[in-house]
Amino acid sequence: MKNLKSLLYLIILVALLAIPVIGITAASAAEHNPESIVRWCEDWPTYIDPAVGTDFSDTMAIVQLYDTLIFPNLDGSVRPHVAEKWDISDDFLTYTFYLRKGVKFHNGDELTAEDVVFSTERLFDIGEGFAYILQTKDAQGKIIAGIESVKAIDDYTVEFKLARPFGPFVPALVRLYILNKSQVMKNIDKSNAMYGEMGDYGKKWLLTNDAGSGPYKVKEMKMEESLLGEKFDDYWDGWEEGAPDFFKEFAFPGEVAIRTMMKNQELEITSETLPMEAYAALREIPGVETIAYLSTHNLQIMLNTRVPPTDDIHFRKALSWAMDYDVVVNDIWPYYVQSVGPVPQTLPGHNKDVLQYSYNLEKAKEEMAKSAYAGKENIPFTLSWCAEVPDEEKVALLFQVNAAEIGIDVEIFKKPFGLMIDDAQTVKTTPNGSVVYVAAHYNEAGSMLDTRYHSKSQGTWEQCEWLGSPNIDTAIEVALATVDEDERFKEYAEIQNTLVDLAPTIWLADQALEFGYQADYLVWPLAERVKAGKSSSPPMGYSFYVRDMKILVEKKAELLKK
Amino acid sequence: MRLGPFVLRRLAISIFVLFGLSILIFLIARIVPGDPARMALGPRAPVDVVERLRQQMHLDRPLLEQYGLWLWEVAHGNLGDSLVTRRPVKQDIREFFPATLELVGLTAIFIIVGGISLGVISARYANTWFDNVVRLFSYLGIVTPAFAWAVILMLLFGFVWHIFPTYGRLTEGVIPPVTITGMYTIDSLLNGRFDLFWDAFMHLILPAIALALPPMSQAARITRSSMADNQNKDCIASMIAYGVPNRVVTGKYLLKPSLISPITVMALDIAATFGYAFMVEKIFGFPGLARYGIQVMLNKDVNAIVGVVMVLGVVFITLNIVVDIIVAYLDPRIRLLGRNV
Repeated sequence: MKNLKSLLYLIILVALLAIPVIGITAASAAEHNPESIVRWCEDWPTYIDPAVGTDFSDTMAIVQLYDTLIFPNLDGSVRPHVAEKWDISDDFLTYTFYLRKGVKFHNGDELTAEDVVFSTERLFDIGEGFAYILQTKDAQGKIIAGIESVKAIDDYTVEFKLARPFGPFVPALVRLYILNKSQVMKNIDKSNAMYGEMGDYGKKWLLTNDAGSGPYKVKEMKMEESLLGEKFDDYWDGWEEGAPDFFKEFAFPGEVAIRTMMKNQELEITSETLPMEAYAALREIPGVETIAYLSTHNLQIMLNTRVPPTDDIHFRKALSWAMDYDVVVNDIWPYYVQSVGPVPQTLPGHNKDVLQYSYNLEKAKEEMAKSAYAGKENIPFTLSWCAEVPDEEKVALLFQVNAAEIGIDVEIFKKPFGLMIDDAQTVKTTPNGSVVYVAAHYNEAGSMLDTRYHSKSQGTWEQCEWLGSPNIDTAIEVALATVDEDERFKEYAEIQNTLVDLAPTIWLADQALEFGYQADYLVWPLAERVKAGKSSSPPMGYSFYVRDMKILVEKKAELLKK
Repeated sequence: MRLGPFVLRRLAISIFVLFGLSILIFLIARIVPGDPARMALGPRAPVDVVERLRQQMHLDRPLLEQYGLWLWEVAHGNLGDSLVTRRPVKQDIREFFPATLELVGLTAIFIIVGGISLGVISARYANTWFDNVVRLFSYLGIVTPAFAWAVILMLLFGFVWHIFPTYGRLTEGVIPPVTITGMYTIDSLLNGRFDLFWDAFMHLILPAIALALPPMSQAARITRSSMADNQNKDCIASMIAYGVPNRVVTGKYLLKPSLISPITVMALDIAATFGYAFMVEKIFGFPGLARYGIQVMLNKDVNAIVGVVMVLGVVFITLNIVVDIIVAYLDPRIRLLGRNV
């Protein structure tokens, strides 16, 4: 009886002690501070379904909502994340990942291997999003590269089998986002039979909801307007003091609105697409600073190597020597740097020793003299630039002027991107030159080489060169199948040398992204790195990983009072 | 005036107009270069996935068959899915149209009240300093496009003096009223939430003024010149000679016939605002139908393009019918002509 009484007292004591604890927990969840928010604007709409979204706007949101097996660092390397460790088989065809225990989805379910399997299969069944990075099929639908199959060995072990060795497989996994299988299955629209018994695979529901385990969860998603994310208090990796309680991404409103919102502290980070004058104006606003860093994108003029006159290697080299690169990187885009070969300099595997063409009319004329067009005047040349990127016109006009100096008559066409895609489908409709930005799909040189110069990308906008070289194809395949990183990078370097010698492209500049941000009250790891002079090349979207940022709420309140 | 047959006749004609418009826009949306499925799925989507979407959207069928299928779906209340928002176009229009309607509604009030008032006062005090100021203001208003006004107003009242909100329909974090009409000002009043009404109203002021200034200026000019023309007519001089008070002469005998031209122009301007509001909506981050319309056009979102254009077509036709009725009310000659016909 006495024991029972003691037990009762103990229960009451525990209950009394628990009340404030529960109260605090409940209060902390409910007391997210609306002022502790990071807001930015981007191209819209944003697709937050990881099997659909692929662009900058999409990935900025997806990385907040979903976890991945491994995680990219700001310097471009990767580290374990949901997967604590992994094994690779001797034939480099089987990867076994061991998952962390206790990772919770936003609805409280535990993340297991079954969710990883489901997310992978869903990605490939839908075939959109980043599926193309992790699996390649031939025209008959046979898997020829990437993940062939995936299975759960137990709750915390998942095994991927590859169709053939793929060296950058682990870095590429930053694009495999893990969804909560049971939650998605509960929200499948069976009335839409697009994916057979899987109905719409939850696509409609996932347009405005998330089924992730990431540090933030969807609080409100308004199609055509904005996404508001709220901190997930039970995030498995915990939280540091000052981490933002909310993030908001919304549609780009225009330059004046951005300036106004930055001045009124209604926006923390600007878009990267503002004109130079706008960044200068932003720097005039107290507390606002701008940063610029080199991305994994570069700007190029692709030369169609199958039609005259660009089918002549000396003609192409002449053009490469005739281009005034300094104007591009000093006058048109001051933060850009001249490209060194086909791979952006921030990408692991870039060959910095490759030949770099420069503006040299003597060499250009020498090459022209060796070409089949020697001595000819007003050689016709067609050049397209993308109507959606107005600054490309400056490059087109510069090219026209430079080419005229060696007797080439460039006819310029401004084309919507959709039309450029159509043109790229056949050799005949592809113009002599196409001014295009290209981005690496994952953080390695192999990504750029594979999608730009392997024959499989012929007929797409990513290869207006129509290079079609079996030797280059084989070299790329061999390099990508090399698991040893040093060896793989050597092979990448050799391919870059070969390409520069073939001059199928004029590699103009590596793109720099410039942002304005509220430096007085926002601590942004990427900005800190850039200011410290360290190179930063996170995969698309990860530069905005909000969990690592900090909002100095008191400082912000002080600024608002002024 | 027998309004019934008149309206019925106009409605019957409108059906044919809408039918013609649907054929035209359906064809234009589909024959302009670029594969909608490829644009929706992105350049890296596999061919089989693109082909699956093309089949789902019937883009692999002949144009005539596509139109027939579209018409069949429309008859069942389905405008198809948007490739941009990935949801039914009907749902998009239901969400975005009330926002634009609310904005254009306030714009219309500014145009009508501002345009007529300025025109009347200007005519009343013709060739005085006030008239000259209004004329100068009108010229400035007409030659400056709405988006330029939007930028100027935002700089003045958002950047220099932070008086008005400059983004969205409501202040950040404020929960919208329960949807009844989709127009926040109306819904907040119906819900008895005056705080929300004020918030939504404040968000409308700058974009509405920006949109209203050019057509309002035009309306003021037309009202003034129309009033000035009628002022010199013998009947008006007779009335003044008989001692009819100036207030009555101006309000009843002068203004009424003078409004025919301004009303026609204002109505067309208001209808056009639904379409050209896109820049102003974009600048103020206002999620309306005009901004949506431009976005779907840039993305070759065929179903959404047709849906938006059809809605705008209905707006134009409706406003035209309303104007015809008002004009018929104002001008007995038109009423009588209608009866004879």
